[in-house]
Amino acid sequence: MIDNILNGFSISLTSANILYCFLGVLVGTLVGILPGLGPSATISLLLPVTFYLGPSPAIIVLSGVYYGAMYGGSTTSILVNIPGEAASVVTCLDGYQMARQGRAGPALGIAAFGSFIAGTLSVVGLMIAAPPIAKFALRFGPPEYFSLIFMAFSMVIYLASGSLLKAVMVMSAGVFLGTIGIDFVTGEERFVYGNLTLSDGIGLVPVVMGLFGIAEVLENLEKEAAKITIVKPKMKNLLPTLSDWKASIGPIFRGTFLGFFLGTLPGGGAIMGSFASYALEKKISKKPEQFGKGAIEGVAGPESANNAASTSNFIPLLTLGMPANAVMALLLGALMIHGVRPGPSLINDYPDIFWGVVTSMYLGNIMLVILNVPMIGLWVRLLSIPYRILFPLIIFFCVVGAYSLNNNIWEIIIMIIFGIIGYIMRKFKYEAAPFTFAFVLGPLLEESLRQSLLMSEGTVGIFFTRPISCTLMVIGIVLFFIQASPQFKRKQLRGYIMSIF
Amino acid sequence: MKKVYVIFLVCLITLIVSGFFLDVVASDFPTRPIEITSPNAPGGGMDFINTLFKGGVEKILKQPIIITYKTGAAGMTGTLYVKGLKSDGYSLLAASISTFVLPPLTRKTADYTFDDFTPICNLSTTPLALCVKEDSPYKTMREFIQAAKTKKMQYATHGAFTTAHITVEALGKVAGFQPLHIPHKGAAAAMTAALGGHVDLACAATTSFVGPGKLRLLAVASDKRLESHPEVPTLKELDYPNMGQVYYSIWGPKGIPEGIVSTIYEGYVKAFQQNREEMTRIANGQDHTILLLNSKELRKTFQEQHDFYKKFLAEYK
Repeated sequence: MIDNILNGFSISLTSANILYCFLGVLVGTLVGILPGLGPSATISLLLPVTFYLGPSPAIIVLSGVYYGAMYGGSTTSILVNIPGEAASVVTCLDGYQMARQGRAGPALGIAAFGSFIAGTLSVVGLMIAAPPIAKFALRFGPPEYFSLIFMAFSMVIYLASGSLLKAVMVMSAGVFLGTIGIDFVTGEERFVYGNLTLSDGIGLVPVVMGLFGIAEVLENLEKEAAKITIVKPKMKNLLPTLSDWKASIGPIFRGTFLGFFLGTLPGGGAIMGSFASYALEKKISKKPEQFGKGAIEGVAGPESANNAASTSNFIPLLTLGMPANAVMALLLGALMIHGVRPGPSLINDYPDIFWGVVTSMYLGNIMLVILNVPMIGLWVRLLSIPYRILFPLIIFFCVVGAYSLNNNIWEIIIMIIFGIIGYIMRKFKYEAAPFTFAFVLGPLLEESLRQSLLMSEGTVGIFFTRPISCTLMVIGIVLFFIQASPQFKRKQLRGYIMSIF
Repeated sequence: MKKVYVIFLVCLITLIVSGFFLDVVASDFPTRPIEITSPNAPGGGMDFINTLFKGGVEKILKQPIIITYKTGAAGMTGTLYVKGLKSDGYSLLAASISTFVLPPLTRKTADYTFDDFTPICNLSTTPLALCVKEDSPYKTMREFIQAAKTKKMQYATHGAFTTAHITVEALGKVAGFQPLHIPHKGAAAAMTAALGGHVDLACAATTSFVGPGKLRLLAVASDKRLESHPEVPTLKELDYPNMGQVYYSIWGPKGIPEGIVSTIYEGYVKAFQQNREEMTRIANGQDHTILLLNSKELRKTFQEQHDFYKKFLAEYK
């Protein structure tokens, strides 16, 4: 093992590979900061360029872009409430509120440091435990996935700071909108109406940029924002204070743990990780009502979770040849183009690639922290730009970002529509975060449900006859009832009292 | 004075008129970069084979080849995009059976047929792999089929109405068993399902999961046995329908002049000839068998495949 690590470092510490790693994380950070443009678009652009490098440098650069984007994505979430990726949505909830209270610096700082700790720890986890974890992940078939996501849905209700009923309504809408597109079992087109754009489903990025970014701008404009700035510049507090650290250290470690394990499961790993971390922190916090108003735990936990997940996303790729998401699929392709056969024997057949990439992730994390922390001052000053100049820039970047995804004008239109919907939702106090969660995970829930029912030929029992699935289902059901019960008890009590009279 | 103007006018007219002929003269083609639109996302088999040929063809044709991606709707977005482009040979389409033949047979929004395009050349084929878990009791395809007649087998593929799905259903019809399809999202997901024991059989276009400690390859859907696994029979040898392999090819919008079509085809042939061994090695490493077909052969092959699938889809539905 130590030999492998040393071998890996001997590869990743060559000056060429250090440079590539740096380029990768730099580009990744920039890409993460720009709304809309995501790591997948960037990696597809860079793919042909990396053809002229060897397989290790190519993967080093591309994976640097990926986890660099995770760092950068939190920057816009905190500063302007625009999530760079689905996993950064949760960071918007409290991070942006912190920015509004003049605490953008600490938020950014905790996000950067938390991500660093999480990233480093999960690289260690990857090195030690990749094959056994992969083996365990193999035991997750469709019923297990369903139960896991079902459990996640039960937990998501914790995300709602406001009315439970509204959260559920909004989640149902999210699940429904997620069904638009081509049904993967029958091939039927659902709610597509002959529109080629819709047949891929409504894109997540335009929706999220609209609901969070555009809606925020609309709401601010309403409040005579032309005259205000987002935050009064408080230049002193650029870094997290000691009490911030004390509050965050627990969430960081818990988030890392959650994100790491959930990220090994293909599908919604990173997203589930950040949402789960938020829900967990809110649940165990002594002041849950602070969540949604600028609780630093709500930034520390999810940010660590999504960085841990972006590292553990590599596990299914490197140990099974199975891409956990679209970006991993691109990396798979990059390996293929270099003649590497990804698959269960990659670690044994190509140890140089595996260990070279893994050790360069260490370096990447260090580079990212060094890159991001000094920039915090710069970002905070950005917020003191008068809003009347800032908001056109925000909208400009959003529109360009939405178009850059697929050169499709429809996606801009979708973003605008959801911006208006988001604005209306805010007016009526419906929250966007549960919607996003349901929109992303609803299709996965449906997919695993139908696969499971196909496998069991219709009996629901399959979820309970398999040990892992049964455990998760039970936890999910229990969680659901725990939350429903306070309301339940109240109504019961009232009903009981009424019946006496 | 007037003479000067007349001469000037004549020169101008000559230049303008000759401009009309520039595009049509095949021997001058290409004079600017050629763009190949790929309807699949970068990093897949389509991307792989096009990138493999790109360097060599660029040297022969002396013009850059740019691969752009227009993904979406199971390949329809890119295909429909190229349908409407100019037939001057500079805008081409990378097409596979999955993006070109199947959508018109299975979807209403696939508003195209072969006649809307000009076939240019075929690049390669990849087989489908039918795999079971290594510790599965079935060591050959025949054993599996025998058992499938009594026990309802569940199989994973990379999607509904893909080559893999239709192939296994056709196999079932001919061999006399009724399998249950569990669609997955992508080849890796399907293979992993078999690896985890959640399904009995996986059928998809990848052999990366075959080997000790992983999956056992029972049969391949291919014209010839694979070089990497010469002991595994093809479906054809076992007297089952020879379908499922994916052909990767280049087409263009309707009406490209024959001269230009052959220039492009010759470009690919020469590129392969010059670097035969290396390209074959890399291609085989990813289970691509390089198979260069010219325009007519390509049209014929795709038509055959189209008829195959149409027949089985009709029976299946």
